[in-house]
Amino acid sequence: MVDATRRSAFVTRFKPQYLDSLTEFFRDLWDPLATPESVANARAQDAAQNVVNPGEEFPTYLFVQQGRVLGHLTTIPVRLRSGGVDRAAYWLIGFMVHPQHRNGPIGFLLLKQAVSDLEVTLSLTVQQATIRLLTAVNFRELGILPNYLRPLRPSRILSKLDPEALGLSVLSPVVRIATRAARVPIAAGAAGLVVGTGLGVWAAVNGRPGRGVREHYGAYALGASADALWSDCRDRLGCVAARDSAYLRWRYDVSSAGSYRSLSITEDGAMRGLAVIRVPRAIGDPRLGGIRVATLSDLIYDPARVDVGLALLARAERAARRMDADALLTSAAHHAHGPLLKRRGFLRFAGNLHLLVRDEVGALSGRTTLGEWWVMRGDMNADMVF
Amino acid sequence: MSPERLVAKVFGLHLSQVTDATSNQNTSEWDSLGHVTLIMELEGHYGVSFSTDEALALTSVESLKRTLAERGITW
Repeated sequence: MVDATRRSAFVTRFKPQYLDSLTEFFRDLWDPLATPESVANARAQDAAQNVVNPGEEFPTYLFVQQGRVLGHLTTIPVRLRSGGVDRAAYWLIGFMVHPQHRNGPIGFLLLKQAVSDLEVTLSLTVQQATIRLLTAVNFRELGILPNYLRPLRPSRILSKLDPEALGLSVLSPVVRIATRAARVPIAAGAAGLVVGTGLGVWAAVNGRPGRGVREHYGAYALGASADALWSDCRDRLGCVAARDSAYLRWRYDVSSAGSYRSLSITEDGAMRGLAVIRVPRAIGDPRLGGIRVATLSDLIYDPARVDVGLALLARAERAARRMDADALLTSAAHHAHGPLLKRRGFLRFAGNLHLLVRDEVGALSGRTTLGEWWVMRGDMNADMVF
Repeated sequence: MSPERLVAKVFGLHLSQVTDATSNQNTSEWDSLGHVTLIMELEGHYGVSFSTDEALALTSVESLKRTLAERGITW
């Protein structure tokens, strides 16, 4: 494919002249209330937090035809820590083609332009079509992030669980009948009591948090001591996008009006661990039938400190209960997380978030397995699902 | 090779499944990557090149054949 000299359709980096068209695209596909001012303000706020090129707008790619935006791909710049060195990298997000123009060349052309500009790019995606496109432009698929769910109020979950609405119709008839029976309030109460007690005993026996650590809740956890924690831990986390206080404050709104809450663990006055939890949505996913799911979006701790990791998980469970959550969900790639989550009674189930990496400069040599990546649901805004 | 045969090859379809009405709206195998692959196959096979505008419009076998015919290409 070659472009004609006088072309009406092309891929371009965002420029102010496309603000109105981009706003129209946002209104059509995401946010009916978007205005040019709100889009410009959001871009300016992001630019102020650009950790790769401070002050510059995040790279955003548009497919434009006759002045109309038909496709969009933007990025989150991060400092990727690996092998003791920081490198610029970009999460690809907001990959969207106007419905009338899907299954054409737009998605491929957007991706091709982005990866020709950016040396190291990362993606978390669930869409097979997107995975095919990414691998076509030299992304390597590292695997699927495992999901973990900690039931906090099993009775409420069982009374609302609808396997067919969740697309679990492949369950055996016996299991379907059992889950249907469990929706009867008395049965749900009894079964929930058994499950809840069992998980509680399991966590108490296998996942007792360490002594000598204290917990703190609130925005303060994202302050200067988070920088010291990040500095202490960063070279023990494998490959990880920088999680210093500036990033955490930009990424997670922990104000009373925000969607996140933070908590930290201290020992002898020093922060040893930090967790970020997304509060359940007021109106949850309709497929969940009203089950309220909080998300453990992020964790920072030295993986050698198992006691701290367990303490963080225990406090996160408690915080989620305070949010009136029925369950706490997380997705975590790093091999350190799985054993701790299991010890705290988290149930592993098949994930759907694929991690893909494109590294054209060999910056991440050796980081080729999923378990070496400290990637969680908070990365790339993947926690927006719940 | 006819456009129908190329479409069948790129999307892994049986030739009898490909008609003028075959398009990216009614063929699940015809996704974005498949579309780009098809355009490159067409360019390579018939020795032509398509602008981005043209590539956007080549969304059915009927439109492929019409565009090729307009270029004077027969098969």
